[in-house]
Amino acid sequence: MSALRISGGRVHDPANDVDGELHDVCIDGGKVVAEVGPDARRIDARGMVVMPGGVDIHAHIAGPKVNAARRLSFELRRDDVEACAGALRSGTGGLVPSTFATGYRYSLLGYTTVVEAAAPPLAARHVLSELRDTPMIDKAFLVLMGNNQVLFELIRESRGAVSPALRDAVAWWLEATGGYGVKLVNPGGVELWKQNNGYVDSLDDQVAGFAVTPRQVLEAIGGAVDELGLPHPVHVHANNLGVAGNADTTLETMRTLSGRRAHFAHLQFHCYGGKPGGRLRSRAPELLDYLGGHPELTADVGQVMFGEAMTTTADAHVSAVLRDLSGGKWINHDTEVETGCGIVPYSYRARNYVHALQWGIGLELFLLGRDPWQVMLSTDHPNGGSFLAYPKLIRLLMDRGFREEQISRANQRAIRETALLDGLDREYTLNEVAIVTRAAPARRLGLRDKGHLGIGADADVTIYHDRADREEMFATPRYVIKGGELAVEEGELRRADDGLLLSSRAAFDPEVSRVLEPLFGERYTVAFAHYPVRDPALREPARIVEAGS
Amino acid sequence: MTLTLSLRARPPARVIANALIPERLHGIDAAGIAAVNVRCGRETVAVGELFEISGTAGEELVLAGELGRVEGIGARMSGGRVVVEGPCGDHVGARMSGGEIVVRGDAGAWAGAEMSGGLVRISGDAGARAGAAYPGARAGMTGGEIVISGDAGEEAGAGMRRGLMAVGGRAGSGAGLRMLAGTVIALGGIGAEAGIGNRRGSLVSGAPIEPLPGYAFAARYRPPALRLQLRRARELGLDVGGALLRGRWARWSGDRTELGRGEILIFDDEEVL
Repeated sequence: MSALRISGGRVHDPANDVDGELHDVCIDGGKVVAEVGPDARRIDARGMVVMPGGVDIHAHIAGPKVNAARRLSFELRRDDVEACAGALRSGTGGLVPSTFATGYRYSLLGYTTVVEAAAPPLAARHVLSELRDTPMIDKAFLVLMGNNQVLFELIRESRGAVSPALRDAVAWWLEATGGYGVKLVNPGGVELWKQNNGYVDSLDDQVAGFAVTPRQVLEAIGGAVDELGLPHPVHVHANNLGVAGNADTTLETMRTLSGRRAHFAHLQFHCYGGKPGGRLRSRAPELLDYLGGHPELTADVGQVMFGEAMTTTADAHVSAVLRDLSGGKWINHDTEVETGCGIVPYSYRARNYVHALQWGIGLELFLLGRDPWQVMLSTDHPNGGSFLAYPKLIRLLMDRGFREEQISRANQRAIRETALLDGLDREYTLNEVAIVTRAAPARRLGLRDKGHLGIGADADVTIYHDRADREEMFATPRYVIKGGELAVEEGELRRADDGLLLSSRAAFDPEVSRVLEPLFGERYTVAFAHYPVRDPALREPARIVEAGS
Repeated sequence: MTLTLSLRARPPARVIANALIPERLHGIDAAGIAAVNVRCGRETVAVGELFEISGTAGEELVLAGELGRVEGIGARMSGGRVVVEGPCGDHVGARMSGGEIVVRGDAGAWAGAEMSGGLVRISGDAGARAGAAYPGARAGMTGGEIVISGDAGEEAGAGMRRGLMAVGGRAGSGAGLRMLAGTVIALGGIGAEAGIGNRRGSLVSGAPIEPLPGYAFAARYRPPALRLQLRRARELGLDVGGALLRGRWARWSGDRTELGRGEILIFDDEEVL
């Protein structure tokens, strides 16, 4: 790896309190270093903006549900074909790009690390295979544990407490899959829906047949993740997504987890007031208030962007509801004793009351939140819109004039329900953008080498032209440097790079197998011995982040 | 002005000829056209290697030779005229929005698929899913006309939303599958399972067929609109006998597993024969 000096750019590195200062960034051996020799290659970044590479804390880019979404959206991909060119592989784009195109397009956008936010552990082989074929970016995946019948059995035994067996089981599952973190999706609710078309009314509802409640699942698994000291805290997709009045559930979930570290996914979908079945209202300010008093909790927004989207979720119940709204295509899949899955193509329309309100609530979360370290940028790709819409979203945050013009096109009845008409003049600074798109997600993921440009950090750097049109600026970085090598130059990929797999590891007592094996025998179709992913080609190479480090 | 491209030999693999439409070649000289690239299998090949070029590029493009391996002729064109002297491959006229394509021979599958305007005339047979929707898409052709003098393959007009497809011979099984609206006429009759999931479309069979149970007999009458469409088909070169124009047709309403506003019209008048 060659030495490189990025000279004369304005550096935005909020994790190191660097806000637009002119200084050189030196790179050697794939890391940021203090100084390089005079013969190091030089990138002239005068007049440009230098940031760490982007980090996406919540997206859906690999695994069986993503692949099913690709198969379901043939008509959206056929006009967006990339031919192979040199070392670059062919692929298709659209809302759910193929693996290679996903890597290339994230890289072209200046992102260098992406987290696949929901993988059924049974599908770990598939997820790993696809991530291995997603080039240019470093990637990790979160393992679904919120509706796992074996874990339910352990939680029933411990009555919702964090027992040693449960803690070891969580660590075992990460080890068995190569996952990075733990995800709870509608804890208990997916199992209820699968059994009997049921849903979670209160966190104290019992999951039939298991005598556990969503609250116990949150406390037990969230607590286990916290006690294990995993680099990323429990990642929660709360119950009742999209339902009017679900802000009560979300607040109750936050209270249940408060005191422990937790990350709330796509908070926008969980901020609704109103009565179930009635009109949605915004309760974003209330949730932001709660977050403000609880620094141990963070969230990503899950902004919806007007236009086509593809909802892909482990929350099979939500998918069934969306299918009734869209009346179109739907895939429903039951991952035996672990989770569910649903996929529905969906379109967000500016004139539609609900869609405009969802859009407005997302902007409220961004603009009313006091601490950008706590509320991060996501569109829950591809659920609220493609990751390719991030530049437009950044412009909405940075450019008040553009935002007001866009607000005027949305359903005004919905906009009046939000704070957007109250003279909300906040404009994100470049530093704040660097926080919500890089520094905060990396910190929250426990990736100490990412999201900043301090000495020893990974040399993932994005350099932008400082353009007045922020959408254009963030859509086409001037240079993207990945692992110390020039990956993108002026909208063109310069090299093919595999990217790293990131996994985490926590110590556990191997005797937990004695507890798990009989439970597997009772419930799974897969033998316990065959369940863990052992294929070296899938597991290695990987960067392992140790718990508690 | 006419440009003629004559295939030198049968290509070694399938050629994707989307680039060969009058509007894209207009104003380019022979050397320029010879240098246009097309895909041939996994290779990129210059047009000049595959075709002998004569004439001047203008409104009309003539393709000659055994073009069975040449796909997507006239696809996405919006104007002008393409004449294919001989059989051609799949996707002829797919997603076209205007102009005219004449195929003097058989055409492959997906002829006029998802077209929105213009005219495709095929003097021989057409393959499966003429005028149909591509996988994933709900709507097939949304406008324009397809005239097939021979037979049409399976699932002709699947997902069709608007427009006219007229078949001189028989339409294969599954014609009008999940049709939204529009008209498919097959003078020689329709194969099995006509109009499954048809919402508002009209299927017209000039020979007796047995509709599926999703269809209910409604009436026997002389539909005035059909007469206009049959006259149009005759104008476009189909051999529409006077009996069809004068006689009565049985109307079956369906498909009642779907919206049920569609119909199958079956010629049913022995007196005029």
